[in-house]
Amino acid sequence: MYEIIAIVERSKIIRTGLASIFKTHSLCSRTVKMESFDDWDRAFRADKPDLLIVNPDCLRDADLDKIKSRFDLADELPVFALIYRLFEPETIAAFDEAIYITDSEDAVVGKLRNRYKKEQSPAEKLTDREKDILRHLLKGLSNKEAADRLNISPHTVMTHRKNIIEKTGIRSLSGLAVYAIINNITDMNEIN
Amino acid sequence: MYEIDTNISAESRLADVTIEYPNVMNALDYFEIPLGLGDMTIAETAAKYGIASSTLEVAIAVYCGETPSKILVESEIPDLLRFLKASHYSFKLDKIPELKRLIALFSEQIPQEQGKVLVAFFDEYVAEVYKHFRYEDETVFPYINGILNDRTPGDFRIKDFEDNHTDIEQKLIDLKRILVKYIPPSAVSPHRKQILLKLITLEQDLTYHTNIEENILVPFVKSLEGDF
Repeated sequence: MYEIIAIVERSKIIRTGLASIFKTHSLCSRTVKMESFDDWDRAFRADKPDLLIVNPDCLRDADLDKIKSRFDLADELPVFALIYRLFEPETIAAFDEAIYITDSEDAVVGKLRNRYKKEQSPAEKLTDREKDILRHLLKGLSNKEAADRLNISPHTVMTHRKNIIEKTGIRSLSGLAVYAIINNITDMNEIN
Repeated sequence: MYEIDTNISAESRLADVTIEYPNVMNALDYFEIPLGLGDMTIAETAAKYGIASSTLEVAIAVYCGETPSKILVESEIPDLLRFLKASHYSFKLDKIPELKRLIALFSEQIPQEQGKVLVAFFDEYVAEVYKHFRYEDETVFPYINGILNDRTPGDFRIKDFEDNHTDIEQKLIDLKRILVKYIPPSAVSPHRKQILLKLITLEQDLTYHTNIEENILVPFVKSLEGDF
């Protein structure tokens, strides 16, 4: 499911408890728990979490956008609030989801699973245009060259390229070459 | 402080740790520690095989999935370098050739063009990995040995290594997806699953390997460079 879930929460009892629910239900391969964002840089050097759960009190004056940019996190990273006191509704609304300390175990698990389902990649079928772009890129053309040949802007090529990667789940060009051969989008002679 | 759920310490029994985290077997290989561990703790094993205890402990913790927080001291680094070199050998002489062999076998069981492009893809990946290893073996490790032996550091700085530490994992992830999802079902053959299982192990191994380099080796060298 999730790769790494980060929990930022001052109470050890609560963060340990939450982590133990994740473990029981195999919701992630690793949880990283910390008392405050001060420990973030030590906890995350090479890798990054794919879900962040944080007690709004730990944000102090920062908002979520600030936290994300400070720790170089993707804008899309889902962030859940961990709530056990009264907050203004707008404070909670800034989060993607809220986990309440009164939630049942099933409710917590459900909230994590729901979010994950939404994140699933779109179906893989490429449009004719995308196939066209892919053929050109596999010939070894740059975005700009492909754009010139197809009479579209390099920006449009980039967008198509992004969609191709998202749909196929394959990032490297040589991986996409394998994909294109399997799906008869191009043949060996056409690949650079 | 932050916590990660493994709790490996010098007093952990190595056999128990290995059973719970089978990836540790790879780390043991690179230290040339044979199985048949009995009741030895990590510290006792280190003493028996003449390895700096902290080095063994930290490498094992990483192979259990931890992000290391421990800083090694100078005397513990040579063992770490030996460990990293031994893992390069193992990737180059054992793990990758075995995958190459299996992929060659599998490529004969699928349509010819698909087989060809699959082999080409894997070869390209391997070339990238080898290039990266060569860079470490020929440039980075000698540089570290050099400054450990008190010689002048030359022009190279570990920062160059950080910049150069490219992401070679992506192709591996692509290859997994191609095998699981895209190559259509073929005649019953054990090779596809064998390749996948080996790829998954290799991927984890490489991730831990990189983790050790980035989170233990680089911070250590940076602190040394600060002393110049």
